[in-house]
Amino acid sequence: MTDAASWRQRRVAVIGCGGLGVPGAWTLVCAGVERLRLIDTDVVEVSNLHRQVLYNEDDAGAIKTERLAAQLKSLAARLGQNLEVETREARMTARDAEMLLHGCDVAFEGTDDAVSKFVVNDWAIADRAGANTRIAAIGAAIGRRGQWMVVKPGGACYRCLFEEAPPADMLATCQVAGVIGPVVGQVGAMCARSLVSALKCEADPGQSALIRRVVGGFKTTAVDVAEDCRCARGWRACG
Amino acid sequence: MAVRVKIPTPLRKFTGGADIVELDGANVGDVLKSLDAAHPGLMEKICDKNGKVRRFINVYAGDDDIRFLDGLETSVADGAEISIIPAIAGG
Repeated sequence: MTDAASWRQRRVAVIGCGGLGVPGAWTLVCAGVERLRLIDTDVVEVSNLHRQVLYNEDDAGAIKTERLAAQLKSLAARLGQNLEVETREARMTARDAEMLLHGCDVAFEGTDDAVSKFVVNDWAIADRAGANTRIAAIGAAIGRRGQWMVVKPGGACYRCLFEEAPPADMLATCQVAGVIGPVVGQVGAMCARSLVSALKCEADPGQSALIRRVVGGFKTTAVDVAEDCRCARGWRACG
Repeated sequence: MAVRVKIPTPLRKFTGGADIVELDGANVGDVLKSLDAAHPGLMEKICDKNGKVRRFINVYAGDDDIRFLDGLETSVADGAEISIIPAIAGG
């Protein structure tokens, strides 16, 4: 599905409607994606507003998926574009991934949950022995740093790079390391831009490579399929 | 040979909060041993009991992941930079 009309019709799940998901979803809509499914459990908090820029003070306490859906529909209308938005008030888990993502074959993972990134990765590679159409963009940002990678058919997956989620004491959190609005906004938008390129079958540095935002710029590291990775072994999720 | 090692946020409690430390070593493995000698306890967070880099961490010599070079035997020049990059989650 690469022609101008069909890639826009692929339903994209945006998992996490916060600092990465808001600019990510905005970028997807501006690029012409016409079908979204927003997945999150959070409500808007005032402390979010410096980086989750499509919410405002009046949204405090509102369900993020609903507020973001409304903002994106308004945006699409102003741009003269079609947009269909579904919402799911849910947390991404291994058990629920197939159910939550049923009907999607593209995902943008922008939560602050390390486990969710591996769950979405595993969903993306689970159909490599079948239809093999799933694409996932996985992003993260903390402090002044960020990173993202697009997992697509035939290429390396997130586990080729980070084989498993870190233990809790090895994870920097926003509360400890801080999160800077412009940084997370940049990472979210550029991650989504890499995803759009994958949808259009255009070259992009973020495909099967890790792009790291560092102080002073970006660094790109190509990721090869690891021979012992589950994505190379035709792995399928159980349950 | 003085090598700069960039320390990720979760490990800075071992370095007194320092985000960059300068150490000696001819290869990445030697530098990490120097790092542990200077900041005890840090090595076991980076490497497992068999001395292999833990599965959720990538170590870069300059811009290159050492897994695609010579692993812990990767040579480092004077003034080189080693980055310890765990998987991150945040947004």
